[in-house]
Amino acid sequence: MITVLSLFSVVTSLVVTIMLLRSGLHLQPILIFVVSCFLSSILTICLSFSSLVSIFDMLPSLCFNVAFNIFHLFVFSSVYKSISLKMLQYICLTSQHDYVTVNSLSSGVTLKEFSERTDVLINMELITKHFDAYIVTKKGLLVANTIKTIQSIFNIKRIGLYGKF
Amino acid sequence: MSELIYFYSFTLVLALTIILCLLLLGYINPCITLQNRYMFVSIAGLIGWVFFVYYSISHFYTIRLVDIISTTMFLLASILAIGVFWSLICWGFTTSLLVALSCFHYPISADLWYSSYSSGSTITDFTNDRLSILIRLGLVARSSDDILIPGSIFAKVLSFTYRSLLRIYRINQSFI
Repeated sequence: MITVLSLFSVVTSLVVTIMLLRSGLHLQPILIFVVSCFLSSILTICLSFSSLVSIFDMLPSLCFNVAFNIFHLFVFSSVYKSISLKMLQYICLTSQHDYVTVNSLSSGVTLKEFSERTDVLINMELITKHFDAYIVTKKGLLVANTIKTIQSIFNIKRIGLYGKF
Repeated sequence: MSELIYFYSFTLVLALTIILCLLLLGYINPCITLQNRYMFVSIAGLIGWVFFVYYSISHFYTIRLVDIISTTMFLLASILAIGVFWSLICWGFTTSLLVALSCFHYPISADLWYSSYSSGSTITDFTNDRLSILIRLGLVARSSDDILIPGSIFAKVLSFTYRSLLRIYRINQSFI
């Protein structure tokens, strides 16, 4: 029964997540994962109660479900935003017909990513653009201060590049 | 049955303790690098978990194999989730850019913004920084004339998997 419950919860969350991600809804991916994990857990609990399964047979399947969702979120976020993976992809595809140097990688991936992230910040109304200059908005300042507070709680002095810190 | 409640509760407490240790280690030894801080805490958490499982097997007779496997998966996933959170607040590109811009109270150019984010480094330095991970993992190799090539067959497999996942999730990438 534990196997059936675990499979049920994992498959349900996988199907719900992929359907929501492919649906084109403008929802934050993290929200989609939280909703699908919550929904599949609720369905698993309902199924357990309806088939009179003990709570101790239900707990492992819930653990598997949460673990699966976190692993899935990790895979998704790597595919969605990781710059290193985009660089690897660029090198694998471009090296078949052209030479790839650090400079071509910078213009092909890094600069594009920089402007993409800038657009994200502008769309979220965290920064604004005046001609060719950027400034943080009140909302952006609030978010930046929250990040700085979290960093100071964890005693993180400086952020940014892997190699430097 | 109370043994099982104890067992599951301890797993949850251990996952939360890892965050607490990550916080405390920053004050105990501020010189330790951010990567090492996370690695040290994760390994310590796993060692603690192994000892707890050994203790539980020898003292709690109601513990089943499925309980150990499921809670181990839960703990590993928690460590991964903490890693994602840690990576976001330490090296997250978008968050770091926002924090860097918030230090200026007047409009600045993209070049100055980027320079402020990377403490005076250039865009090529940033590319080299992110590339260093791929090279360290053997996924990318640098030839003698500085040409970048896929490091191994694993790099091509990973690239193919990445492309397939992009199609499954319906994510558009302009350079593909």
